[in-house]
Amino acid sequence: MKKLYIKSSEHTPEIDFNPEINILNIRGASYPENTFKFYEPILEWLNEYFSEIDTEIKVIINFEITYYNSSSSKVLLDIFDIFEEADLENKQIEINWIYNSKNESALETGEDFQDDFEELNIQLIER
Amino acid sequence: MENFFEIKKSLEKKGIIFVFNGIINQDILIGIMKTLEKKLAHLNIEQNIMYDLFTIFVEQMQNITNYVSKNNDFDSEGVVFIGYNNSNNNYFVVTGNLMSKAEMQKLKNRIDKANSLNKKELREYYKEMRRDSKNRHSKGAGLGILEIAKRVSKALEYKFIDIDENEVFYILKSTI
Repeated sequence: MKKLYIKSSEHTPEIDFNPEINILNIRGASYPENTFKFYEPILEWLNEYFSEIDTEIKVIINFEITYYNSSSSKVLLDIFDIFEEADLENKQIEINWIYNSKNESALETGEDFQDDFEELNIQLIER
Repeated sequence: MENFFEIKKSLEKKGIIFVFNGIINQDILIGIMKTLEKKLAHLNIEQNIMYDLFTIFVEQMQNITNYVSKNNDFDSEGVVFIGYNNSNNNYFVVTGNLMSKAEMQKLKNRIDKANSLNKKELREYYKEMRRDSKNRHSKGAGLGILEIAKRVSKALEYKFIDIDENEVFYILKSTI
């Protein structure tokens, strides 16, 4: 499985998925015009990655989203659905939702994902 | 020529710190966002408020671009104001654009619904709506208004001004 790296832009986050060390990072703002077009290859990569890894491997996912538009919010839900599916297959996933202490909305977003995905291991980390 | 000066003075009197009128598309939005990030840092605005202001601004601008691109091939046009109200110590975002009268009631209902909920109810309703609209990948799907409503400090204000039998001018004001 190849690494997936997408440089950040003003309106899209940095994507840094490294299957060698099993750490996946998503960092930055997300308000592309066509959200699905931007996230489609990312969703594809994640689906393939989680179908390939076995249950011995621990995957760490770091989200650090500053602000986002509502259509990105929907895609984030799609991403969490992929994690949930992998979790049901007993894959080890640790999700860190990293937020700026001065960004209450980012904290709330993380809490809402915790509510929606109670089975997942989601840590809220203040930075 | 003094007219232009009058316009500027009257905007400043209303606390407007940023105004844009004309074609709105993603490139323009990105350009404005870059400028705003610098300007707001300069104004020492509280970070919490800044992030909410960015989110609301993006959402309102993309409401305009999404709406128009869905309905025709031309670049969308609209007007946007960002202001600061000294007496209440809050920021506001106002956007205005033409829209079809046929879609007015649906939008009005969405805003009224959002205004009727408290913050806790809004979070629940937002999650419900996000889950609902998820597989459609439609732009907006009503989530945008809720994204804004979650972050405002008072009810959303709106107005539909009659243009002709088919169109209205829609104005939305969010106060942070």
